[in-house]
Amino acid sequence: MASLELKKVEKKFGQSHVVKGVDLVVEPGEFVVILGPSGCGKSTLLRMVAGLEAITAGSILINNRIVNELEPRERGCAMVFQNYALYPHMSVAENIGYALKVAGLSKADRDLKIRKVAQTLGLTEFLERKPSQLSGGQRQRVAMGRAMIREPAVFLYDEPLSNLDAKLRVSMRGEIRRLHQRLGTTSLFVTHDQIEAMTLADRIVVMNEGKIEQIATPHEIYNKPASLFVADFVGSPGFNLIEGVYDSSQHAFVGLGGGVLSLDRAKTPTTLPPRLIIGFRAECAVVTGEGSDPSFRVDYIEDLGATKHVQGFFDDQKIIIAVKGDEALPSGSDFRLKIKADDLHFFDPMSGRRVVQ
Amino acid sequence: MIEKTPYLNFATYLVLAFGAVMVLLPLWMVFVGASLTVREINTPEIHLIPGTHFFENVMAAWQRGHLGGRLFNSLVMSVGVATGKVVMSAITAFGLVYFRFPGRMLIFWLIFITLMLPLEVRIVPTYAVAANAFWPIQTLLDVIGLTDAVDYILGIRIGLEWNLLNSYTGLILPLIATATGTFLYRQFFLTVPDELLEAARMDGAGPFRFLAEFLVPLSRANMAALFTIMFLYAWNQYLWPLLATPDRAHFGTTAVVELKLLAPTVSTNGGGTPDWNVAMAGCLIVMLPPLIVVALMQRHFIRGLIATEK
Ligand SMILES: Nc1ncnc2c1ncn2[C@@H]1O[C@H](COP(=O)(O)OP(=O)(O)OP(=O)(O)O)[C@@H](O)[C@H]1O
Ligand SMILES: [Mg+2]
Repeated sequence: MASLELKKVEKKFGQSHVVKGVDLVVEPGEFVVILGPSGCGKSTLLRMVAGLEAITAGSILINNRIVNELEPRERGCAMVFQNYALYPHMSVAENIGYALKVAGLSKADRDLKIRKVAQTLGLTEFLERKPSQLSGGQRQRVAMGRAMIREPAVFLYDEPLSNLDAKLRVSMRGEIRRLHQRLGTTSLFVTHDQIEAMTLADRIVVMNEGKIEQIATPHEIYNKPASLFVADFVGSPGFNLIEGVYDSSQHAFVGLGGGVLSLDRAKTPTTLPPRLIIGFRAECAVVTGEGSDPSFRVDYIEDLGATKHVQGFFDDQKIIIAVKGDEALPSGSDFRLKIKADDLHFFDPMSGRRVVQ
Repeated sequence: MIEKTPYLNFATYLVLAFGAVMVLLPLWMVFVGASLTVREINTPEIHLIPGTHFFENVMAAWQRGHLGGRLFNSLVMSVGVATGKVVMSAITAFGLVYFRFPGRMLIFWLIFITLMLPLEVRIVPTYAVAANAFWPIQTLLDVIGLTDAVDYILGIRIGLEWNLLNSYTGLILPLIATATGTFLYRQFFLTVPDELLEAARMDGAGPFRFLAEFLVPLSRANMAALFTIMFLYAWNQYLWPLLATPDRAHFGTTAVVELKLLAPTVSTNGGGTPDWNVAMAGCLIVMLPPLIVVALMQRHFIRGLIATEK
């Protein structure tokens, strides 16, 4: 098992600054997922680790050895590509065993290892086929086998599941997770799919515009987002974010439309900025009929079966509340919102960061 | 749009049949001509029914045209040109597409310019170079005065000479030096996805392994096509072999050039009855090898196409 470390890694393509100083430490055996919107530089970062893209500044260390100048083959990484990049003119067995052939292993040794890997991945009956004669899921597995057989120090995955249909994606996700539990290889996995990130990761790295927004466990990313970007990006529906100001005399939050939400002194940060954004998850708000809590006007309802997503307005700002499937909330009606103090999050609109306790 | 009506079908077949006749009729007449006697072929009417002297005429053509040796020359030349072309095109295109080096675009354009200089245009300098492959170096030495200087100091006159006339090298090299194949390969290499190269690099393959184990097998269909085209091109060359093989007695020449000598003229025929029947038989013999090459290579185009199909 190998450790992987990125120190102030930068990448520029000519004028465009794609990766802007990324620091990351991946512990041996850890499964880290890089999550971010399209074009944020995830693939570029991964390709720099692989050695397929030169590093503009900073350094990358694998097992505490700087690998900046090393060829891909010398770094001990194996990569699974988004479109698999299988070798079309080689059989499945040749695809899987190619790295060993290059490394100079004898045919007999190769065959033994190929058979073992094929068995793990359920590919035994396809070994003689060409990639063009396989289904998407099988191709995906061949790509995994090709990476596995080298017993690499680090596994790199660049959106390996995005070409599969929804059902297959779920089952392959499970297989990747199981495989990691068995092999325990340090892994870096790039995706823009948050479900994938949440289910696979030991820790998630949320990236935006070439910078890291937050590195944390899936639980923490979901429940304690470090920035407005993370709050908005992770979770479906995302955070409800409401802009307003902090009224220190009443210790209350006053929305832009005048709605007042009094805050629990014990459970809020001691210093809050004058301009403030509060946030809470859709499922953390409770709708009640009366009381002095801020009012919530129902706009329309999306019924998902088990839950209902209630679209509405708080203080003229659009929010979503998730309620149990059997609750009746006629549109146009006014209700009161109750949010537990623990579920309220505070963000500074200037920096976009979370206001810490 | 495909419509299936009896009339349209009939018309389609009619057009096809007409085309086939147009193409095959001359060939048939060559074959018929090759099977007649000298007397029969020199009668004014058009013969459409083969005679009985086909093998006689073929034997006569074979002996008179020394076709055994000539066909061998042609074969060596054509295989040499086709192979050399395939190898050189693949390597130059590989260099141009997969490596970043200073002057890459300059070299690309220099190769491109040679497209505008087919052999016929540069025949005089090419002949001069073939007559003495060291001629450009010698000229350079002469111009910068090194020849005179060495002569003055050492009393030795530098005279570099390497005659390529009447040799396979001389027949083959000038025909290899063209850019078409390089472009064909360049276009093909540009369609090979980057991920394939990257996956191969991750698996540890260096540039030459990538060329040998990926690009070459993937371009099999291209290679077969280029080989066939170049084989036919070299086989059908007339002007260059005519110039490059002045020594008919020892080296001989190529089959196509010999064919011209088989055609009866007053000088070759001594004023007798022109024996076109033998010339026709010679034609048929010389036509055969390219036909075989096309027939054999055609299978490879198709297999190549199926293998790369996704
Ligand atoms: N070779 C290149 N030359 C110039 N710009 C590039 C190059 N490769 C990537 N970029 C740019 O860098 C940015 C980040 O690209 P990257 O492929 O890393 O995004 P990504 O986060 O992987 O997105 P996606 O989820 O769509 O794959 C993009 O704006 C892209 O246009
Ligand atoms: Mg990407």
